[in-house]
Amino acid sequence: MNGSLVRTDGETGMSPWLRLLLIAICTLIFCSCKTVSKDAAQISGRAPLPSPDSNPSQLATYSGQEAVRPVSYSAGDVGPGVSSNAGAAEVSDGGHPLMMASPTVPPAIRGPIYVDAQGNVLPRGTPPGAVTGAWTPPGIAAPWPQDEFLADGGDLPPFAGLAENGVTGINPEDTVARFQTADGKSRVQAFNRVFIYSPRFASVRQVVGVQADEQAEKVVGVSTPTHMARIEEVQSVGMGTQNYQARAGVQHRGLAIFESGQRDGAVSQALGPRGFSDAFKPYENFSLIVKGQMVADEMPTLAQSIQAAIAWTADSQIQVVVNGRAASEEVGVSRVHSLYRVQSRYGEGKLRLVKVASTATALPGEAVDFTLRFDNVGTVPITDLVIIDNLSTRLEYVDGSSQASKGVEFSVQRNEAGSLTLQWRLTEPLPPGEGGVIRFQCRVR
Amino acid sequence: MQAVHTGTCPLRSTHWRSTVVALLVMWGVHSLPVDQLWPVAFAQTAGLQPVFSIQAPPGLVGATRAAGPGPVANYFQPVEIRGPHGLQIAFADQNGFTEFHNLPVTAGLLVGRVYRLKVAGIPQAEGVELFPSLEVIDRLYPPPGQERHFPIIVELHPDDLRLAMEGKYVTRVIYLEDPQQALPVAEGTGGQLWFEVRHDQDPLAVADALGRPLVIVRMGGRVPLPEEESNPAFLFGSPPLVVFPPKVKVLPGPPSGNSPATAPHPTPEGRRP
Repeated sequence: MNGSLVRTDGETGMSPWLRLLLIAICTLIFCSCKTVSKDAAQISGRAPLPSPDSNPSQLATYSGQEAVRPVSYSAGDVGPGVSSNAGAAEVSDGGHPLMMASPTVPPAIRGPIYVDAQGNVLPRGTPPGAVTGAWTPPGIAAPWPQDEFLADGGDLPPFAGLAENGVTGINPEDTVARFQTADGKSRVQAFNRVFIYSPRFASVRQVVGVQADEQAEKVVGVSTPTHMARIEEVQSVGMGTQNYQARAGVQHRGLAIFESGQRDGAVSQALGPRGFSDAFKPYENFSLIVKGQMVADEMPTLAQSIQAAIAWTADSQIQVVVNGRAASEEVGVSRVHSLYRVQSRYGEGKLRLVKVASTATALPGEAVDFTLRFDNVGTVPITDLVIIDNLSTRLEYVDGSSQASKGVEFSVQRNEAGSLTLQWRLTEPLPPGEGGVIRFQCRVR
Repeated sequence: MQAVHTGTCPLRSTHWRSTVVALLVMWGVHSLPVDQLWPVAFAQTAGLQPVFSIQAPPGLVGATRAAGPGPVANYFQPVEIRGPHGLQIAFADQNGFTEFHNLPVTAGLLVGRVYRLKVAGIPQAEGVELFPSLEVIDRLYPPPGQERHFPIIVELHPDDLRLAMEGKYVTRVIYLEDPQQALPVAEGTGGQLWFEVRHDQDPLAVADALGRPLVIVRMGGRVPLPEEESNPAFLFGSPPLVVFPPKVKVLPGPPSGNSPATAPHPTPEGRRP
């Protein structure tokens, strides 16, 4: 009876030393502080943030990734002398942070402050010349995010098709052309899409208080989520026509003919100043627009405005519905135009469509010029050519701004989205090798 | 005294085994790469603003977004604050507030932080001051070099100011319109378009359905006590900000060649083509 507990059942138990060892190991594991390593963060897709103690070069690199652009001045810290100091001058902040910072907040990025050649104060720690580009998520090309861009052109689902009295499936933002070839068949094809950076803001207000119920009775416009544009997006049954496109294996064979089409081109004489109030505008200064002739040197420049659009519209750009079947198209994803070829025993009709905009960015209230270039690069005349541009709700057509180098009948109709549908109908057939230009102006809402 | 255990204990042998199993399970859960799984879960909703309740404490929505993927953290999002003529605002500073700025004023604000403002010069209510808060919960991605030309527009409506002075609590969520759902109307002289929701609706959820929420403005009629104006809790920690100089509209110069006095100076490169 010495107070100890003695087991007499002879059962095989855990040794006290083993038990202690197990508890010690577990305690060691639980007490170890597990943190996500830098490599793990990178693997998970998150770019590691620079630590406040990072050197300026690291911070500059990160700033370049996130496109922190000129953060200018804080009253009293950066004076006129600084702003007039061009070049790579380093601004002394006198040991005082440039920002109205509080020491209680997370530490700001440290490093010297530079001024670029234009006098803009660069983000702290960003040296002049640091490459700062727009950030996009991996695997997604610009324009991104799409809700900050205003699009016009192309053919969104449900795709445009022929109807008895015209063309159906014209959605907001769509721009298509309908024409008839020598064999009497009608075709529908789309222009390329043009993107303009033009974010617009709105707000939602909520007022609570003693008379909150009375405020609630003022609700207006909450039905906006049921906007028609969204509903039409859901009804994208036009994708069914895409299946027919795969059997158009003649698309590869047509490239040789495409070369012959380039040989002819469209002559500049066909672009008489008919209906044009002035000469070509600066943004139209492409041989493809002015003369209808493709010049390889211009392609990168011309592609800049819609290269990103191709990334977004790769699905919809190559859909051409002709009487329920796919027409063979001879445009690659890297082209800046749409070229369609229709073979028949009467000859070959090819229509090339190009759309460009005057600016890549626009604020609400500003005007944007659009230019549509169409060319018959086939061997037979094209008749009954109708070009339709269904404007998005953010674009307001400027009355009287439509100009055309060919004789057209211009009409304006209100579409279901509350915007306008512009339509140009050529009054005369379009002979092979000829083309035309249509220009109009819109104001960004 | 010695206690002799003479009986059998059938569960005794499983006690330590279950203990070992439990410890192993705890160790396994502890070692799960939760921090790595979080971005994966977020990526499943990439491009969508996580819907939070407007009842969340100020700063929670923005801080969550700032901790998410993309270059959001440490980015000074330009925000242009507009208001009626004569209205002035001051930003929270560590000792109170900065000097007043005439509207419109553009400032670079950090995403995920809450900024306390002091509003004065309210039309027909001179001498009255309001202290709204402004929380940036997302950023824009304009083309390089265009950041200042496309700031987020925050309008302090006279109606909001009036309601706040009457004791109401006004919450306004500024969002980026989805161009596919944009109303076919232009911004008139009344400023940006806005909607009003009932008190039982969540304005953040409504804004999320209409576009991408960017800024939350909260405004009430409560005036802090003098000693509260320097309270860090009231000032939300006075986050850093950058006030941009006002825009100066550069008028086009006179046409060249009209007179010798207005003739342009020759460029070092010589005549331009």
